[in-house]
Amino acid sequence: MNEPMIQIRNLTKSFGSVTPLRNVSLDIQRGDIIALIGPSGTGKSTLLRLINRLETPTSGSIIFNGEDITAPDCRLEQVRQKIGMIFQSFNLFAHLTVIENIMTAPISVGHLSRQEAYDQAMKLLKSVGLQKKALNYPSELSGGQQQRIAIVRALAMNPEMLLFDEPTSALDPTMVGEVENVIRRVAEEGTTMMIVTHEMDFARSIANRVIFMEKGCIHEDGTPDQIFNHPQSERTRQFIQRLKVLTLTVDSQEVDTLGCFTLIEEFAAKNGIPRRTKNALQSLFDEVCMGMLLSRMENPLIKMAIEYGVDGHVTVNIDYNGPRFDISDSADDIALAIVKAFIADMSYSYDENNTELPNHLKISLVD
Amino acid sequence: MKRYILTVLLLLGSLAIAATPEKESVDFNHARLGVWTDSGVEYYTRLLYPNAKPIYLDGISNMVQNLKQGKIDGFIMAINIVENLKKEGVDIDYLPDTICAVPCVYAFTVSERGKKLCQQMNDYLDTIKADGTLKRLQQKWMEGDESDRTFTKAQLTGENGTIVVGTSAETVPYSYMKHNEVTGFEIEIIDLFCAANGYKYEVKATSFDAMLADVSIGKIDIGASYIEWLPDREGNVLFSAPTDEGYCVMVVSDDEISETGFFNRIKRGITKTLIVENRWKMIVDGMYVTVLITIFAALLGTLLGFLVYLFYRENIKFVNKCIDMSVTALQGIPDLILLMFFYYVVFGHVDVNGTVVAIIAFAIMLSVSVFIMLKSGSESIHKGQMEAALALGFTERRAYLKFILPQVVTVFFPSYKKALVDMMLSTAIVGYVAVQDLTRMGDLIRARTFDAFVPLIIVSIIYFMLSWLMLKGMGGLLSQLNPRNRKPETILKGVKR
Repeated sequence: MNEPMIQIRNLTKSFGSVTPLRNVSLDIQRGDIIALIGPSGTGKSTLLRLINRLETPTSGSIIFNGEDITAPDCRLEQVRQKIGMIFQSFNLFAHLTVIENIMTAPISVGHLSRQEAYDQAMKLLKSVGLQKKALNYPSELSGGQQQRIAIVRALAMNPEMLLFDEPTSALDPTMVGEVENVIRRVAEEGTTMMIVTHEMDFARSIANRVIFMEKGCIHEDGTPDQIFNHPQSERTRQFIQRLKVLTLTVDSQEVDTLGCFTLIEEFAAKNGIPRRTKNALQSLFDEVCMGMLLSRMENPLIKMAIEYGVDGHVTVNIDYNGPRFDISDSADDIALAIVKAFIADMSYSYDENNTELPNHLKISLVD
Repeated sequence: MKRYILTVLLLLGSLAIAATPEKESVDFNHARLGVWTDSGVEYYTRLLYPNAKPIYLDGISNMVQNLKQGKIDGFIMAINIVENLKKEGVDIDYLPDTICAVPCVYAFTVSERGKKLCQQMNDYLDTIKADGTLKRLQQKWMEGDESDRTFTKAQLTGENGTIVVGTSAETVPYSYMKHNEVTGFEIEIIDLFCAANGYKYEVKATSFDAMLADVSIGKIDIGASYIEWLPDREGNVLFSAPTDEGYCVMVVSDDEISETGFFNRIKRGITKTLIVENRWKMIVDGMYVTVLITIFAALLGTLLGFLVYLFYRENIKFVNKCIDMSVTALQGIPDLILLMFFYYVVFGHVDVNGTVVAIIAFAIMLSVSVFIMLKSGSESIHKGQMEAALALGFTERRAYLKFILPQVVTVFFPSYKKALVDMMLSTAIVGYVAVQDLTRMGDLIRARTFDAFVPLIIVSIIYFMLSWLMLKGMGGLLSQLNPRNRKPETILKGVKR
């Protein structure tokens, strides 16, 4: 196997008390096209900006082509010439024309002659269909056109790797396609790429490797098929299926029932959950957690996780401690009758290895 | 341009009203009397008229102006000066009785050199008193006509060095401006003194207070501007023996207004201000100094501000803290204080031309504005462009110069333009440090003509013209600097399409 192009080891980045990236290790092979997905604020952009050293890591190292680019004596400007970056907000130089935006770096940094740089820039512009805009200023172009220019500007340096930081998030929906197509074409040419994106279909179709990040860590790393069709972890599945989750915790006999009801109320209002379903969730919490479970526990710990999918389906997972106990065996027949009215499916399992919360109850609500 | 002409006209009108004299009868025991701070005039005014209200004014021309406008009822002044004012056609009169005598002396620095000079001067005064030269000089300068009041400068050998003579050049006939040169009774004595003692001398015209301050720190060797001998002035400076007894009288306004009609007054004023003794040359000289200070301070200040900002970008914590603190400090100090600080403290004991000090002080003040403009201007450019340049492989500094600075320049140019004009206008204070700029020249002319109106108008108009020219010129520069105004041929220079 070839030496990886980039080896990231135990990379951590903190801003004051916030730590957007924790102890991340990752190898990037030549030719990899990686889609970085995950909820907002989970360190995807930070990881990208660290690879280009626009941020300095708090600890850990990044080896690029055998060179430690986190070393203090590293000539960053030389490394960056080989790693192109495309930003969410395009960042074209506002006072220069399109052609100058593309030509300046190859001339000043890359030592092409003006003529060579011009010819190359025009060829690249033609390939994205913008050769007529060569003498326009960025402010005269649409967002999609600006982002295509930004990609061309990065390509003009012939980089070994391209980093895309949410390249289509700032665009009007009608312009997302044109930019995605350009990125797809660049990918076909075999350039190593890493793309932070929220467009799941795009990630799935372009990448040969998908990394799901959550809370500053790499949660799951695999092929698009693995991540999208057979996710290993619960969080990946929830994210891929775009589930909205509310977790309620009961850890003493003194329960703020009203507070929990309000949380369910707010969760329902925020996600447009029908009133009937909301009432069902509240009864479920009241009858199952408070009624059947809490009354028989001495040191209670109950976690009720409500998942609401885009298809409108609601699943409730209840985990609790104490000895094996299935609510179907409960003596409280009236309560059982009430909840069964809106339960479509229910399964119970007991995990002896889980010392904290061995009991697991999975309930699907009637749609 | 229209706006400027209108403003000038407005100024003319208001000044004409203000300049109209007004009169009332006077009882000096309860009158408002003009005095200088810490002077013989103040001393005797308080002694002789304890119930009068002293009004503090600076310079004889201000005294006369205030008297003519009825803002004071009178002032005590040496009879020789008053006689001379009357000869010049100033509408004043004086009460016949001699009130007091304030001897007129030279001032010297309290130092070895000062003591030696003072001793030499006293010896020399004794000599000319004995041989009648002093009497002859007094007659010529005090009683003679203006045409007689000249002297041929002695051939100075200067084997014993050069001495600096300071004067306010406002006390006719003691020391004053004539034909764009300082002359007078006191100056001729110094000329003779230098010839007799092997010195050369140069004359520095400055305000009276600044002159005394300069004598006390040794920037000026001899102070000569009808300095009155007072017991409590001794100590800060040394005084020579008197050159003149200095009999004083009470000056009052003349009852008859000699000039009739607004336009006649203006016409006479213009003649006095510009034509007599070729005084327009003083205006031109002053304008030259103002323009000189402005241009050099502008170049130096812009460069300094830019370099400091580049240094600031290196982001060295301690250095940046120092820069931030200095900028805040400099912003909170009045221009005049800073100028005097440089003149008296920083260059206090170095022999530097006041113009150079003014250029340095104004350059520093401008550099503060330039620094602030660059800093806030650079923050206003989206930091993404900087990141994009870095990501392409530019170093931080090259990225700044190539991509950020050109945009900052177009953003901050309008405020820069205004800062430059403001600076040019605030150079009007350099008279305080013995620089004869446009404003100071206007003052000196006013001291000769006792007409505030025409010199002020002329000086104002010149300042207006200068600011207008600056704004116009810089407007053209802006369109040159704006990258958007380039033609496609310039953009694609050296490229075959």
